[in-house]
Amino acid sequence: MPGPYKGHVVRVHSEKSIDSSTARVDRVVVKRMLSAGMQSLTGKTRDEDCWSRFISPRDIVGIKVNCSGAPHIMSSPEIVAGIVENLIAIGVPAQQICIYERFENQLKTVGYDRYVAPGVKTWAAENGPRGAILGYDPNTYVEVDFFGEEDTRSFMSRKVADTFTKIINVPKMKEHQAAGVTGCLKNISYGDFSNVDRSHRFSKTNTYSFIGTLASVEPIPTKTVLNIMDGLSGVWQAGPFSQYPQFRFYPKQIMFGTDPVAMDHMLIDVIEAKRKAEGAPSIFDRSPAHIGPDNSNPNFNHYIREPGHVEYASHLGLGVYDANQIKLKVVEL
Amino acid sequence: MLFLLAVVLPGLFWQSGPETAPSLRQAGITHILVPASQVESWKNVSGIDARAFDLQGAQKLPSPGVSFRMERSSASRVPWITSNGWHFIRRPDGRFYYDVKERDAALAAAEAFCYQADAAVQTDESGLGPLAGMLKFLGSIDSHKGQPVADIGVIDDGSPAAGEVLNLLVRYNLLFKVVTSPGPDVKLTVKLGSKEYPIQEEKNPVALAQKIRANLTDDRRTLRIYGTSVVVARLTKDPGGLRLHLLNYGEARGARVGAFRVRVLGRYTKAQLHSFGSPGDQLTDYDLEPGATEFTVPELKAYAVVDLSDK
Repeated sequence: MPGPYKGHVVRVHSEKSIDSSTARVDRVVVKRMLSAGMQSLTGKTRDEDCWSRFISPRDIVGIKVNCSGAPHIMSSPEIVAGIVENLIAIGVPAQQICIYERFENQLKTVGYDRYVAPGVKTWAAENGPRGAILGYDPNTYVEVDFFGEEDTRSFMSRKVADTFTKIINVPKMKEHQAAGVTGCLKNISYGDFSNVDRSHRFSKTNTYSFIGTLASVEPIPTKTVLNIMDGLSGVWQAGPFSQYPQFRFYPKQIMFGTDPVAMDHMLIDVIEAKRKAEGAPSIFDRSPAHIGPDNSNPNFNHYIREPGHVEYASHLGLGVYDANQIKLKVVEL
Repeated sequence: MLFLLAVVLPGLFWQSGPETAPSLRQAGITHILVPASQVESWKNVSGIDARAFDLQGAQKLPSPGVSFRMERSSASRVPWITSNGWHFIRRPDGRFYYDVKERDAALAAAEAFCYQADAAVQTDESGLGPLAGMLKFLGSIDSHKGQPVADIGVIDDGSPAAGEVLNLLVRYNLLFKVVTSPGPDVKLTVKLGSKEYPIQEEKNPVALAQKIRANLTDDRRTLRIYGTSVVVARLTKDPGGLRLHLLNYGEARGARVGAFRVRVLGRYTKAQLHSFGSPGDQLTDYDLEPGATEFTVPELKAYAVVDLSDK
């Protein structure tokens, strides 16, 4: 990260991609969106050439999904299946592809294995009691004390640290109660480390600097070669979870890029536009008057959100935040 | 041999009469503590050795465990641990007893053993099996006459407020001992009630415990635990090496602790894990660093010890 397409974002939109009344995804349309997005990003005309730009048959590929809003809002299995099909098409053996998350219970509610070729693996860093660290690399961690907590380490997922040679990041388009938005950066940082929710307490959250800090820890920036953000559906309030159906929405788009900062800037714009349309405060609002326990009311939130984490990450070299330098291509299908 | 076991292991305090002997035998209990007035009646009961224990003068302890107060907002996500370690450290010559049921009986016995406290565990039939299982495990561990390892010397004024600070030090795994004056064998001396560490006017003992931690600094702490908030540890040292005691306070609520990481200052090339209920468990990811040893404990039920040596 930010990879070969620094500052570039491709947005592919299709009204036919998802039925907003049933949330049913059209797998054929999604395949076309994936093809159009990758071709637009790379400038190549054959899908195989697009994917080979990032992945080789010898790679062990981790696909980082986001399941914290499952079973309603998660990285769509249809998109993940499309990614897997393209990887297999360029010669990556199914056994070398692994769909992964932090928590097994969330991953299981989706059942990605039912959508992909036999042999593709699924894996969760925490597949037993929450907090267990066997799935993390004991030698790769960030140590920081936010609030005087006793457990000051966040360990990196073991497979990220020592197994995967490439990672494809597949975040979901969501507002986040603490971080403001949860897109590429948060999915690849909080989603790849243990013991991260300690960064929030009362209305205060340290996501502003912690997200970028975690995302900067090697080998994450080197291995994460592609970001494909699922915006078929999303959440504009009370994320990253999705217990309130009224806060789901349907942008009907997928974003592509190698620059997580530029993509997350676009995500901020999407969430802000939706919130404005709904009459909700901006995610940049820091008024104590809007802090409250009942976030089923979009005027309230548990935390002072920190969407500035995206710009902060740009200062760590993870990508381009300046809107004037971001080159957005929009493809309509 | 029987005398030694009675001294080291906590005992079951049992007020029912000899007619309950079959229940004890079935559970595997072979030693009990009884009111002095009942010793005679147990004399002729085969397979059960009864000694007198007087609850009068013994301090009753709360049931060890955790309280997950999910419905309450608090300054911490860490569950409240009810640990009695500070009582034992404050009164090493004290006599104590628990009145507990079911799995709490096992944790109580482990806790008392960990601190080598003179403690009795009173329970009912629901606690006999768990207690007997734990006593059998404790009896199987090699004897270790080590002295507690302490980074902090605490000059304790004996007040309840000071006691709460001691309690928090135990829960935060800040190793301390009670001293009467500063000494060279600790890294930090804390005089509770002094200008630097006021307690009576201190409304937040957590803040005071954090101040003590900050003044010690994490780098100088002999012991760190990562990956769990319900494990309390104790370290003892003898010429053969260190013994690390690990108590899972979530056990009584059925909260199994998965893998967690331990860091101990000092290089120890050999380690042996003895884990209650998981006899085959081995330490993993064992790393020797300059001046420190780290390893992962794969799982913890109620109690485990890790013996560390460099010989």
